[in-house]
Amino acid sequence: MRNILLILLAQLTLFAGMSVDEIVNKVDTRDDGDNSISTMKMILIDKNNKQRIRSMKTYSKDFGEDVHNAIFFLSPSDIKNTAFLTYDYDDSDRDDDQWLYLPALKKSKRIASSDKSASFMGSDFSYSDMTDRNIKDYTYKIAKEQKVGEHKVWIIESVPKTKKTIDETGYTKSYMFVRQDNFVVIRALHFLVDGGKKKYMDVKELKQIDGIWVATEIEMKTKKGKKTLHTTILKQSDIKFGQDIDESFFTVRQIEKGI
Amino acid sequence: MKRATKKADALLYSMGQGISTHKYKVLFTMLVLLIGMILNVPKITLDTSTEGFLHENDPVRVAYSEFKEQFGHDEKIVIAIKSDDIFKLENLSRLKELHEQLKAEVPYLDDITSLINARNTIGDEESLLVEDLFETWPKNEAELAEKKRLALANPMYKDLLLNSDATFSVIVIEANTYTSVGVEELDELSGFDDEFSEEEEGSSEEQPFITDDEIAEMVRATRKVVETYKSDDFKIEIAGSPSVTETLKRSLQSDIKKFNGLIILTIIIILSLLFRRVSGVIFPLLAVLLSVLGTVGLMAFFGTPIKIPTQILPSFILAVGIGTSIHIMAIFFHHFDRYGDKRESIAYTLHHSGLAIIMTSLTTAAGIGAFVFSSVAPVADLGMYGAAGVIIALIVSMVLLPALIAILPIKRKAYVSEHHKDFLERILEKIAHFTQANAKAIVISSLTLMAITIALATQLRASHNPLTWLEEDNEARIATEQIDHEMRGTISLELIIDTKKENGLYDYELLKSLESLSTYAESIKTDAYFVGKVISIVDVMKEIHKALHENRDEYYAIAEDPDLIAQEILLFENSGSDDLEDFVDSQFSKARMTLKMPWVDAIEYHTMLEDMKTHLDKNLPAGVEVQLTGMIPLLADTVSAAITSAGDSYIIAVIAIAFMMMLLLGSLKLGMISMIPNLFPVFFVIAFMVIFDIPFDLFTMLVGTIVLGLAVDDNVHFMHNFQRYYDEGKSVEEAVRLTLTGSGRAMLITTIVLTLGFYVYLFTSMENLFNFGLLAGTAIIVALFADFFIAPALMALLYKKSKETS
Repeated sequence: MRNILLILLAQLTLFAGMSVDEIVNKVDTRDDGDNSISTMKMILIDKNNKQRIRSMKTYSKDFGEDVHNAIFFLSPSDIKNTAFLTYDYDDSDRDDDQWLYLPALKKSKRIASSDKSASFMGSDFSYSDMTDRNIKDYTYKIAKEQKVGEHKVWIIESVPKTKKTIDETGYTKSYMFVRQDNFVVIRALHFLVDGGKKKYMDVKELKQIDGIWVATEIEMKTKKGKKTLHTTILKQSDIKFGQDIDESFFTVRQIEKGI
Repeated sequence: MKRATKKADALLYSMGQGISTHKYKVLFTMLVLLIGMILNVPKITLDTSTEGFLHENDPVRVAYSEFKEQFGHDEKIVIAIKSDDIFKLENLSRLKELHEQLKAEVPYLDDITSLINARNTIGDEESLLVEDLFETWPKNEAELAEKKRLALANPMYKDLLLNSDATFSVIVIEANTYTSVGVEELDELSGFDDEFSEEEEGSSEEQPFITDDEIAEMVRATRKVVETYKSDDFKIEIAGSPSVTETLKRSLQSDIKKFNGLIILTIIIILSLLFRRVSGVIFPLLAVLLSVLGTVGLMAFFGTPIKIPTQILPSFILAVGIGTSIHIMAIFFHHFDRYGDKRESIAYTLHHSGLAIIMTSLTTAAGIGAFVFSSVAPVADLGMYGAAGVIIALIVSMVLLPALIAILPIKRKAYVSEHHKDFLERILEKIAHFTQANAKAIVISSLTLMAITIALATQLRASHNPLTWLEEDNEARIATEQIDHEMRGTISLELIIDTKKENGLYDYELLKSLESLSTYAESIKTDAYFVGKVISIVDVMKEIHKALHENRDEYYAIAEDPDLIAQEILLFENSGSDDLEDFVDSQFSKARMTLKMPWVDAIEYHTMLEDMKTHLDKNLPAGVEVQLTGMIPLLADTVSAAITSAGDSYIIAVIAIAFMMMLLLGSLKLGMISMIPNLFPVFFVIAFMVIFDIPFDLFTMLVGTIVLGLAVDDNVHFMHNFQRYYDEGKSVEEAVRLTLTGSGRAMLITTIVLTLGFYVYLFTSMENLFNFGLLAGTAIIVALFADFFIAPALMALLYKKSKETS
C-alpha cells in the first residue's frame, strides 16, 4: 500500500520559487517508505449516507522501481481471507498484474485488465489512484498558490499527454494541492472522462511515522454537479516501515495460504 | 329571488356609471393588475414528460422519483440501426464512429451503451477478463466471426443490444439524473468540504431532476449526429420515450401558435361581420388577449408548466371570453346607436346583461373548474386555470371593456329599427311554433335518446397511449413500433425488491426466487402485450459464476454458498465494471428487476400489473418488499387516475351547475328541468364516442364538463328571457317565440364562435386533440339545438300543465 503514499507524501524542506517540474519531481521522489505493513479500514458511504466497512491487512515491498502489494481482507466475514495481489510496474507500457483469491471457491484468478480507471474494491479510488503516476505522461503547470488550513500549497494542474493515458486513468485533467513545506499532495481534484463527474481527494489526517509523512485518513468523494454520488474514507493504522517481508510473500501461493 | 335579481341589476347599473366616472382610474388599476400578471409570461415552461401527468405527491410518481434517485432515468434514447449484417467490418466501424460522436456531442449524457462497449466477461482456467466487447478491434475475418459468436451467445445482449439474427442493433443513451441548470457556474476548483460548508447541507437537499427541456435538447443533438450516418444499408431511427416526448413537445409548440393564430383570425372575422366598426373589433379582441395573457402569466407565476392537455387553455379562454365581450358590445352598440349617450349606454348594458353574463361565466367556470380535484395533474391545472381564466375574462369584460368604451371615441351608427323580419327571424319563429306543436314528441324522443345513451355508455372504451397521439407516419412512432417488434419492447416495468437488510441479497434462496420471478415474467404473453426481456442482478451473478468456471455453460447459475456470492460480487466490483449500480443499491439490500415490454395502450398494462402484484405476494419470501415503478406503472396510473377522477369531476360539475340554475331561476323544479337540455349535449358526446369508437382518454374526458359549462350559457339566456316574458303575462307560445327571436341570434353567434374555437383543433398534428375538437365543437352545436327545441318543448309541457291545474 505504499504506492498511495508515493504520490501523497514528500519529505523535503521548502524551496521558494521552484519550477513546476522541480515540484513534481520532489513529490515523485519523496521517500514514502518501504517494506511496510499496515491495517486499512475502508469506509464506503453511498448517496443515502449508508456505510459499509471493510478492513484489510496490507503488505507492500519495492522491487526496484516496481511495487508489489498483498492485501488480505479481515472483515466483513463473508469476504474474510479474500486476498488481492498486485504487481505495479513502473513501465507504463506494461499492464499491471493482479490476482484475486476467492476462499469460497478456493481458487485464484488473474484479473486481466489494462483499465486502471476502474474502481478499486468498489470504492471511489481507482487503481490509478492507488498506484504511482508516471510523471512523464503528463504536462504540468502551477495554477495557483493558496492556503489550505494553515498550510501554503501549490495547486498544480496536470493534463495527460496522450489519449492512451486518459483511457487508462479515466481522467482528463487533475489538480493537485501540494503542501509547500513537505511536498505532500493533501488534496486532489480529478475530472472524469465519463458523465461529467469529478473526484475530490482530501487528506483528513497526516502523520509523520519514522520520519515519513503518511496520510492516515484520506477521503475520496465522487461528485456530479453539486450532488455527492459516493464517498470512500481510507484509514490506515498500525503502520510499520522497514519490516522484514520476504519476496516470496508476494506470490499467488502465499495469498492462497493467508496470513 | 326576483327582488335579489332586481337589486343586482340596480347595483350593476351604478357600477356602469361608476366606471364612466372613474374611467382613467379603472383603466389604470386594471392595466397594472393585468400587466403585473402578463410580465410573468416569458417564464412559462412546457412539460410533455410522462410523469408530468401525475401530481408531484402522487404515490406512483413519488415511487418513480425514489427509483430515479437510486438507479437513474429509465427513459432512454434508443438509436436503432438496421442493416443486413451488423457484424460486417464496415458496419461496425460506422457503429463505433457513431457511438463515439454521440458520446462526445450529446449534452447531459450520463452513459451510452452499444455493442462497442458492451460488457464482455470471459474466464478461463487461470484468469478472468471483464472488458468491452470491442476493447480490441478485430483484425481479420476470424476475429470478427469470434466477436459475432460471443455477441450472439451472450444472453445479456439479446434483445437489449442485438436481435437474434444480428440485423438490428441499438445504441442506448442514458440522461443525467439531475438537472444541469445552475451547476455550470461553479468555480472549477470548488467543491471541497471547507469552502462549501453551507452548501454541504445543500447537497443533501432535493436537487431537481433533469428537465424536460434538457432531455429534448439531447434528442435534438442525437438527431443531428445521426443524420450524417444514415444510408440505405445502414438505416438509423431514434426511438424511446424521450424522443416521443420531444416530438410531442414540438407538436405542442407549433400547435399552440397555429390554434391561437387561427382563433384570433376567426374572432376578427366574426367581430368585423357582426359590428362593422373598428372599435367593435379592437376592444373585444384586446380584452380577450389581455385575459389569456393574464392567465398564462398566472400559470408562469405559480410555476405551472403548459402540458399537453393544458395547451387548450389559451384558445378556450379566447373563445369563451370573446362570447362575453360580444354580449357587452352588442348591447352597448344597440343602445348607443339609438340614444347616443355613452355613459347611459354603459350603465344600461351592465344593468341589462350584467347578471346573465356573470351567471354564464360562473357556470362555464364551474364546468371546467370541476377538474380541479383531478388526479391527473394537467387536468387539474386545466380546471384551476380554466376557471381562473374565465373569471379574469369576466372581470375584464365587465370592468376594463366599459372603461375603454368610456375613454376612447366610438363612432355612432344610424339606428336600424328591428321591425323588419329577416330570414333568421322567420326560421326562429318557425322553430318556436314547431316546438309548441310537437312538445310531447320532442321531449319523449329526446328523453328516449338519452336513455339509450346511458345503455351505450358502458361500451365506452378507455385509453391512454401517448404514442398514438403522434401521427402514424411520425418517425418517433415508427421507430418505437419497429424496436418493439425487433427487440421486443421499448418501455419498462421496474421491480424494486427490498430485503430490508444490508447484504440481504447475499442469499441463495432469495436469488433463486428472483430467478423464478424472472422466468415467470418472461412467460407473460397475451394478445395485447408480452414481456420481451427481463434483467436483474441474477443475470450478472450467473455471468460471473460461469466466467469463474472457465465459461462452462453448466455454471450459468447462482452460487449456492452465500460467502461465494459475496466474493463474486467483490470480484465483479473489482473487475472494471460499474454496471452493478444499475442492478442493486450499494448496501446490497435492494435489487432492481427490469421487465422490458412493447408500448401498448396503458389500459392493457393494468391487468398485467395486478397479476404481477398477486404473483409477488404469493411467491416472494416473507419480509421482502416489492415496489412496482417505471414508465409502465406511470402510464397505467395516469389512465386509472383519469377514469376515477373524471367521474368525480362530472358529478361536481352537474351538481354545481344544477345548483346555479336553481338559484338563477329561483325554482328547484325549474332548475332541475333546465338540466335536461343542458345534459343533452353531454349524452350526445357519449353516444358519438361509442358509435365512432373514439376512446375515453385524457382529452375526450374533458369534453363533457366543458360542454356542460358552455351549453348552460345559452340555456341561461333562454330561461331567463322566457321567464321574463311569461311573467309579463304572455302565453307560453308567445314567450317562447319572443325569447327565440329576441335571444336566438346572440345564442347562434356565441355558438358559432365557440364551435369554431373548438374546430381549430381539427388542424392539429395530434390525433387526440383532433378528437377533442371534433367532439366539443359538435357538442356545442347540439347544445344550441337542445335550447332551440328541447327547452321550448319542456316549457310548453310544464306550463301548460300548470295552467291546466290552476
